[in-house]
Formats: sequence, structure tokens, C-alpha cells
Amino acid sequence: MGNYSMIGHSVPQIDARDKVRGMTEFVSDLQLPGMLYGKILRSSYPHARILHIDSSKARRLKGVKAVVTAEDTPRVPFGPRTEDWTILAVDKVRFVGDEVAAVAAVDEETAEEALDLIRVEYEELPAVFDPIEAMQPGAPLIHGKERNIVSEFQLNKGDIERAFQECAVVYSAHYFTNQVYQAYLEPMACVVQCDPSGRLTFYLATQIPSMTRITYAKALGLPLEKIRVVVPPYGGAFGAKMETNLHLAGAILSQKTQKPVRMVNNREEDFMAGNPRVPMYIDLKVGASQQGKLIAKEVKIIGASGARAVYSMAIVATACYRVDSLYRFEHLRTEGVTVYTNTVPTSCFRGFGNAQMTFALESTLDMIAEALKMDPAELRIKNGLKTGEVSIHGWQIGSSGLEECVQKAVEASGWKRKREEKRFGHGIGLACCNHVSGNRAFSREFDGGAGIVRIGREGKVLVYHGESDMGQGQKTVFAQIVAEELGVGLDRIEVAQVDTDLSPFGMGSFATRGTVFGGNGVKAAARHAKEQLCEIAAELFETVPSQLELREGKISVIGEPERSLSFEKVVEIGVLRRGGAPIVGTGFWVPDTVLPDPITKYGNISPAYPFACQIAEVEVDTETGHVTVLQYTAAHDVGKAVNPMAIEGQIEGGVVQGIGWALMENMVVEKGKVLNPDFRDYVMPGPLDIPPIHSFLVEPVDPNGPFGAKGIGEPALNPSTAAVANAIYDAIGIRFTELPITPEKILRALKDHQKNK
Amino acid sequence: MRLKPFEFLNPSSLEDVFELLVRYGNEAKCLAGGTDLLVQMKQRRILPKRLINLLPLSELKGIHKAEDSLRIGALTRHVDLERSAFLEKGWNLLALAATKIGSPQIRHLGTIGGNLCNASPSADTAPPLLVLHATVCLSSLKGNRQIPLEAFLTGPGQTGLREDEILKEVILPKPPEGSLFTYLKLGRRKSMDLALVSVAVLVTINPERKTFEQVRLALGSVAPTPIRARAAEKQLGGNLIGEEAIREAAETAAQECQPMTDLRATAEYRREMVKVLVERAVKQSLGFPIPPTGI
Repeated sequence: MGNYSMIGHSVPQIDARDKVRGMTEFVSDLQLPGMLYGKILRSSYPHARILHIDSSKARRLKGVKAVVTAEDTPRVPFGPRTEDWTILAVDKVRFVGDEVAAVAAVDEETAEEALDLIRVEYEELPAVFDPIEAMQPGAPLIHGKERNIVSEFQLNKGDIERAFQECAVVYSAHYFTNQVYQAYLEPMACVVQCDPSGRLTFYLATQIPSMTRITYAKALGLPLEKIRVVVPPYGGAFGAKMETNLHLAGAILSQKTQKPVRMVNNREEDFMAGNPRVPMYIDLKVGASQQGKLIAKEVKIIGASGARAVYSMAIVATACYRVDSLYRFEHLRTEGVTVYTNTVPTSCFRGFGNAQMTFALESTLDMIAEALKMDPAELRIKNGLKTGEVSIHGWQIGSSGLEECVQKAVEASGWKRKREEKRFGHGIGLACCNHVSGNRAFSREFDGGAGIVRIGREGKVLVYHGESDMGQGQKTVFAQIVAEELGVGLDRIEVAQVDTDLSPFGMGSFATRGTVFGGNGVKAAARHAKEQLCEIAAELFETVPSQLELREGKISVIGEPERSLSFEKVVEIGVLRRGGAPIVGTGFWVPDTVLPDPITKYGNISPAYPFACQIAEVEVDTETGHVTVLQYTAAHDVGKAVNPMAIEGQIEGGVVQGIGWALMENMVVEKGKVLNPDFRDYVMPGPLDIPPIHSFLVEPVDPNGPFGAKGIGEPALNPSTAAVANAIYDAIGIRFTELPITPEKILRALKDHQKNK
Repeated sequence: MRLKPFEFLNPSSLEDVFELLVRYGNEAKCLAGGTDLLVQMKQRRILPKRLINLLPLSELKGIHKAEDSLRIGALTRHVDLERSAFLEKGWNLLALAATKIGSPQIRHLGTIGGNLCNASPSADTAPPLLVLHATVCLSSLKGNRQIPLEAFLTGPGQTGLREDEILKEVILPKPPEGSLFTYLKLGRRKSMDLALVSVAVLVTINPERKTFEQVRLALGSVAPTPIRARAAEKQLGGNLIGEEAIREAAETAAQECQPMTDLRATAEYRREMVKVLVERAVKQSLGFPIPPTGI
């Protein structure tokens, strides 16, 4: 283990000071000279043919600079995965919120007023909202695809029928995970500027700047070099902020008006046309031996993609098979179907399908443990993958701290004692999870990370990366890694905003990949800069570069501290000797992950796999049905923690989100319309609903992560819903299989339970 | 959504307000804290052409104590109720309810007059005021009139306020000596929520005979307006204090309310919760232990 000056030290996020003082300019704060304000006219029908659009009145309104419809767009089908998008609706609308027309005006009020003046004649079409109904013969077709099926996923291993027959315990249940909204602080936003040459600069809140650029080039019919994406600070994403038509409508308006155009969703629009979580029906059957060895798993998942596929099929696929690399299942039968519905397109949300499946699997495992009269913690430890194992799908577990996570959480939460002190209404529940740090199956073109480190004459270190900091603390981690390599303080480091004109081509921030991929990328770049500095210093000290070290802002000859120069001095001498050229380090990192086989899904998809165990303790008010979470313990295998304070923040955030999902959060959709598109009725936990959260970091040094680090973003939430559901089961003996577990559901179940006694 | 354009009128006296009301009638709305009004305007549920700003009018502010009553100006904010030294003994019930309204930000803007004129069935100040026998003073060019709060609240979003009137103040008579009271509010979370059900209770007891004397119960969110649960009150008044009696009265309260189903809860659940909350509220007012409940 290295003796680090930066890595493993808790430091406040480098942009926190500006944020808490209100100094940070978020995307929705940006002002460019001559900027116009855009708004989108959205469909109020879930499924309808557009007969006619009359925008003449809107065009005549004072202050309106452009009104555009599909006629003004290339009308090229495009999309990140399946090409079922158009920028504005062509011929028909497919969900309430679908983009029909857009307006640019001198202010937002005028733009909104203009929307009211656009007349759209619709012919309503039959619509379908539930994925199971959408698959039935005769259901209205949303994109003309047979049975509305976007994609199917199948995976079979071993001999499932025989395996189940040989199991001592088999438990099956039907689960439902509902549609929830990411509820980031800043709704989706952009500013788009078209320059006189026709080149577009997009200032975007996006997690995937480089990939977005490719998708948008296709949508706009432009060569890639005509598009530049810049990512200013933005207010959270949790998976939702990838591609969105909002950005493209802004581009069309900017092309039309030759002015910069700012587009910001209001909260209602963000609920109705954002990218909420893929709701899933999950039929799960799991079998185990008398000794508690998990043997067979059969799952059928039906996921609703909404009116555009976005990434839903990949999310359903993940739900189908990721947990197979958490425990040692030997026999599998898996079927996943992703289905179009006339509802808001659903997509990525922290956990990417693994969160949905973890709810089902970890609930099921508690029922199996009970049937076997086994401690649920022991069941997990017995079956969990260990360091060095290769999972049934070929995942190479370079490090696994799962067992230690379970032990830590069990010990810290008082698990054994609290399970013994049984009292009706009080319960404790445990759940585990695995995840990835980057997902090769999702990064189809290539896998890797890159960085550029530029050191100017004054010794300031500017770090370029191609990922995306949405507030999770990525910038700080990159700064720490570069500072560690160069032996300087954080005050010397600045992390540049992503700009596709300057930054490396990064895959972006998803799949919990930032620390491992971006971190390894900037680490390699810093190494390269360091080599150059050592060459310069070696000449000055008349030695060889390998005899030098960079520490505490100095470059010194190893073992001879009196022979040293300050970092800035070496940089200055180097830059001046090199005709003013800055020290530029570039570097990249490519892991040996593989694209899974299309049929068998076999292949190591990630360089590093994080694990976790969370324990919730609850009190159920059996008269009101209200659940109070009393204590929460979360032990996470994060590899070497680069910034422990930031990781604890991630864990707390994930747990809060998980508790909200478990107990209250729910998008209520009736006939395709979201009935609660606001924070009054989309209820999320407040500070009083959140218990003390005790975080524990388990730090096996991973062979692939930078300094041994792994990701944390998504696993922070994955097990939380199941931990709460298991605690409720322990408290009142009722198994809830549908989220959220609301007071009404609990009360009704308690009554039914009493009747049946 | 943004606010639609409107004319903002800044009267400098109550007389000016009255004249503007006469001139503009239902085209104008009075602005106090704006925590309900501006939201409704943004949602386009109402689109008044004019807003009459009441905020500068000091005669509508402040809490004044008289011999045997308390007069609370309509512009008194929830946070003022929470902190006022005048709201002692039985009147403290109102302060207790004020602490459970919205967020601190809302409580620094929202006013008692606004809360009553908005006339939501879930208005948090209403159940306590009902059991405190509040009357409201309505004022116009024609003068003042005083009506009981119960008569003022006529339906969801509806009051006895005439187009030319404003609610000037709320008047509270002295509560009975030895009043025991509490306010319970059940939300979907433990703070910052609308009431699914709320219960205000005020009782006096005869400690020697161990009986209830006066019993006043009011319920929020379970009828078109906040209501008194009179049948339940009658059932307890004068009778022996006991768990069984309280439970039976709670069931009566559940029967006499008229809840409805909406996004937040079903009618059945609300009715069931009236039973639970009335029982707990009466017990808590008597000092019996109850489980932690709601907001």
C-alpha cells in the first residue's frame, strides 16, 4: 500500500465553495449576448395523428422570433440505440409531452404565450399504457413493430428444470418496480448557439458529451465537426441526462434565428418528458439446496420503454443477468422483453436495471433464508463471489469485499441481537448488491478513458477529461489523482469543463465508471507530464529521470533532499527552454474488458466490480401503516477510497433515494398523463424521514482501478429498497413485492392478514 | 409555467383596498403571503387581471390581546403565530398547528388570513381555530361584520367573503380554564406535506370525577371544509374518561366525516385514519402516551 499525500484523504469537493455561495453558473443560468428563450409545445394526447398545425398566430406575436415544426427539421429518424426518435413529432404523437413544435422569443413569457397560440388538429388514436397490454394481439402499434416489442433478451445456462427438482427450497414471486423520477435539482437545460458558418455550440447538461455529439450530428444531418459540445456545471442527473429532444429543438431554433437559444424544462415538463426509471414486472423463481447453496434462477422481466426506446432495452438486459455475478447460480433461464407504451420514454436511473432486479432478488433471498431457517447474512456470505473468481458470465472478479461488507454491516447494526429481540412492528432487514465500474456492453465502440494535463509557465495544472461531473464529485477525484501523481497540492490543480474541441473523447458518466475510467485516463496523462518534468529536472541536476521524485511541490533527487527545485521553477525552466510550449501530458487507459457474446452473453464487461451490504431498521405503525426507518447501515466495497468524504456523501444520497423509492416515490400515470408532475404530490423523503446513516468503506485494492479504486455511484442505491422491504417483513411478517410500500398498502395487507388468521 | 401578466396594485390604506375591490370586483385578488395564490396563478387555475397588495398595510398585522380575547391580524404570518408570547394556554393550540405548516420558507411568507381565505379542506390553521371558537372579522366600505369561522368556510376554495370584502382579523375568545389540547397531522412524510387527515382537540376535565367536561374536536382534509366532529364530541362530553369511550368516540368521528379519494389517499384510508388520529389526539391531550404520529 502506498503512502499517499492525496489519495484516501477526505477533501471537500473543489467546486463546493462556489456552489454553496451561489456563485456557480449552471446551464440554466447561462446568458449569451442576444440570447433568445425557447419553449416546446407538447402533446396533450398519448397517441394521436397530427392533421394540421397552424402557427401563423404565434408567429405574429410580438417578440416571437421563430416557430418550428417537424417541417423545419431534417426529419431523420435517429436515437442513441434504436432509431425511433425525431426532433419534433412527424405525423403522430406518441405520449403526453411529445415534442410537437418549438418557439423562440425574446423572453420566456412571450415564448409561453406563443405556445398557446399554436393550433394543432389531432385525430386521437387508441393508446396503450401497460407493457403487458401493449404486447397483446390487436393492441395499437406505437412504432409499427410487432406486438410493440422493442427487443427481447434470452439467456439459458445449465439444466433449469432438473435443477429446480433437486432444490430443497424454491421460492417464486411476482414483483413490480414502479416508475420513479430522478428529481435532480436543475431540470433539463441547454443553450445552443449557431455561428455564421453554421457550426453549433451546445452548452449542455449531459452525462455523455462525446456520444451526444454523434447522435445529434445524425439527427441534424451535420458532419461531426460542425458540432461542439461544452458541459458547464449542472444540477444533477442520476442517469436521466443523456440525449434529449430539448437540446435539438434548441439547435433548430438557433439555426433558424442565428441567435443563441436557451431551453429549460419547467418541472412539470421534466416530469412528463424527462427520462424516468423503466418500470418492470419481474417474475422470479430461485432455488437453493438444503445447505443454502443457491442453484437455479429463472426470471421473466417485462419492461415498459415508453414511447421511445432510449436505453430501456439495455436496462432490461442488465436487470436480467447482472446479479448472476453476485452469487454463484449454476442454472439460469432468463427472458426479458422491452415493450413500447404510450407513456413518457423511460431510461437510465441510478442502478440501470440492477436496482430493479436487486429489489426482487434480495427480497426472494430472505424468503429462502427463512425457509431454510438460516441467517440471511450467512446465506449471502455463503453464495457471494470472492476475489479471483470468474462468474458464470465470465466476469473476472479482481477484488470482492462482499463478505467483509456483510460482516461490517452485521456487526455495526447490532443485527444478531436485534433479530433475536423480536417485537411486532419492529424489524431489521439486510440486502446486498454487486455492480460494475463501467460496462463494456454499454460502451459498444470502445472501452477506455483518457486525459490531458496541461501545465503552463506559472505552474498551474489544467486537467482535461471527457467524462461529466454532474455533482457527484468526479472533478475532485480527478484533481486528487493528478495532484498525487505530480506531488503538488490541490490548489495547483484546475479541472477544465468538458469541451469537445479540447477534451479527450470520453464515453461519459454512466455505469459508475467515472473514477475508474476517467481516473485512470487522467492518471496516465499526469504520468506523461511527470515524465517530461523529470527529463527537464534531470538535465538540471545532471542525473537520470528515474533518480527523481515529485513530492510536496518539489522535484528532488531521491535520497538527496538538498538537491531539489520547486515544481513551478522546473515548469518555468522547461517551458522557457521549449520555446514557450506548455508541458502537456496525454494519456489513456484501455482495460481488457470484452463485448459480451451476443448469444451467450459471456465476457468480462467491467474492469472492477463493487459490492455492498446495507441494513435497515424500521418501526411500522400498525395503525397508520407508516414506516419509520430508525437506523441505516451501509457497508460498501469501493476499492481504495480516493475521497472517503465524497464516497460517504454518495452512499447517503443513494440510501435516501432508495428509502424514497421503497416507501413513497411514485409517478402516478393515468391514461398516459402524469397526475403528479410536481413536488407537492411526487412525494420524496424530507430530512425527518431519513435516519442516521452509518457508512463503512471496505477497501480491497482492486488490480485495475486507479490506486485500486472502484466506483460507488449506483451501488449506493441498489440494495436500499430490498433492505427496507426485508425490514418490514421482519417487523410485521408480510412480504411486499410492489414498490412503493405505502401506508395504505401496509394497512390493507395487515387487515387481510388478520382476516386470514 | 411563468406568471401571466397582471396589474399590481399597491394601495396605501384599507380604504384604498375597499375602493379597488368595489371597482374591480372579481377581476382582482388580494395578495397576502402568496404561497397559495401565486402557485394557482402559475398553474393557470386562476388568472386574475389584478392583484391588490395587502402586505404594506400595518393595520392588518400583529396580535393584540384584549381583556378576554385575542385579535390576530390577517397578515400575521405562521412564523409569527409560532413565536408569539400571546398564544399561551389554550391559544397555544394555534401556535402548535402553525409549526406543522409547509416548510420554514412557507411559514415565513404564508399568513393566517391567506390560509383561511384559500379555504383548503386541509388548511392547518382551521381545525385549531374551529375548536377555539374563532370568529372572523370581514371588512368593507360598508363596515365590519363578524361571523363564526365555521360559517365562513363554505366549501373547498369557497368562503363567505363577499367580492368587496377582505378578511381583516381573526378573533379568539378566551379558551376554558384548564384546557387540554393537541393537534395531530398525518402526511405522507414527516414534514412539508399537506394533511391527509388532521385533528385538533381541546378538552376540559373534572379531575375528581374523572370525567370529560367540554370536548371540542375538529377534523381537516376529510370533508369539503374543515369540520367539527359534533357527534363524537357529544359522546365524550360529561362522560367518564376511559380508553373504551375514547375509542368509541373516535369511531363516531370516522363515521361523521365525509372524506374523498384523491391522489394523496383513498377515502377509506382517510376515514380509518380519523379513527386512529382522534383516539390518539384525545389521549395525547390527556397526557396519555401515544406512538409518534405524523408531522
